[in-house]
Amino acid sequence: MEGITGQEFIYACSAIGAGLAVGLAAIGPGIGEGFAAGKGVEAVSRQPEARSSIITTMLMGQGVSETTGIYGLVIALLLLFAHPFG
Amino acid sequence: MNIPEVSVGFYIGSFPITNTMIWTWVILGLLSVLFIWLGSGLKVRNIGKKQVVAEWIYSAVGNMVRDTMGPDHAFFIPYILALFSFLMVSNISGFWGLGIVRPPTADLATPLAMAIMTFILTQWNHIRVNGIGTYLRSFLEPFPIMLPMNIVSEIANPVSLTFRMFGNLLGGLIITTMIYGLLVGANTMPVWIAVGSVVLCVVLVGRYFTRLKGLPKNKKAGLILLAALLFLPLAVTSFVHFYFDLFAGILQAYIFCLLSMIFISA
Repeated sequence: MEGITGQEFIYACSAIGAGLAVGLAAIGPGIGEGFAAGKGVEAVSRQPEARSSIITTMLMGQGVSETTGIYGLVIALLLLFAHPFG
Repeated sequence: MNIPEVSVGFYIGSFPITNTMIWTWVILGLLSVLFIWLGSGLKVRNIGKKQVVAEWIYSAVGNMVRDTMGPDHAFFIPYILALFSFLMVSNISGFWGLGIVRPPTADLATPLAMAIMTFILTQWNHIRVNGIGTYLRSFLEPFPIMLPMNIVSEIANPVSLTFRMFGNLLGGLIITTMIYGLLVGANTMPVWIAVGSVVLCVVLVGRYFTRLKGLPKNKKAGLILLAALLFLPLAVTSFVHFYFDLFAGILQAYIFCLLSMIFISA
């Protein structure tokens, strides 16, 4: 650990934290969006005539459930570019 | 990696004017001119093509507002139409070229401003519909001890609206920039390099197309590989642009408007 300043150590830890923030926050929305897409496929196969409105609703729900992943992304961006800890 | 940043272009007095504000004004000006032109000279009979487009836009947004908010909130149609058109054009403005236009919605200030407008309209509409007494009492539901929770959940709406749009757009911008950097190595001139590669490819194909039949097989394969390599940056970057600017941009604008309508009319 010689030759590493405190500043550099904080930057390295921020990079690791950013990766963890995005990676862990991507799990939930990934599962959720996949679930919504699967249910959308089921609904389309049951009622093919309602395809367009099902797809619109599905995309909207996926966009909303994506928000939690986006929070993780924002935290990662803050850690990488705003350097809140130094 | 040079991600396009929010930079201060010039100052008016001591007030900084950023590139976000400049592009916001440009987009607002273009949209104002477009909608004033679309809305001018309306007729009842014998309508022209222009009026058909204007009526289509209005009835599409109007049906959406009436379906979601109920017919008694039809006076929100202009607000939702303005919000949707501005957000959609700002989101897809990254399509015009990286490093030329930075999408205004990839700056925290723009979605925050829109979310604050929606927040103020929400509170105003709740007071207008329910009366101030019921409005204030709704914060004490179901128990008075829930007051801090209710206040936080009311403030969480604009925050989630803001970060959803900001995170999507900035994430898309960063990924697009990284792919540009990966493919062409330069961040400021990728568009021109892509255009140049297409021109070169067309010239090459056009020149060798007539002789291609007589060529040996390995030379033919090499030529096709070269053409594919020249097309690769264009193909990959245009796919990325289509996904992050067109698809995600329009979807996020739609979600923003839909959630605004739900919050306002709830």
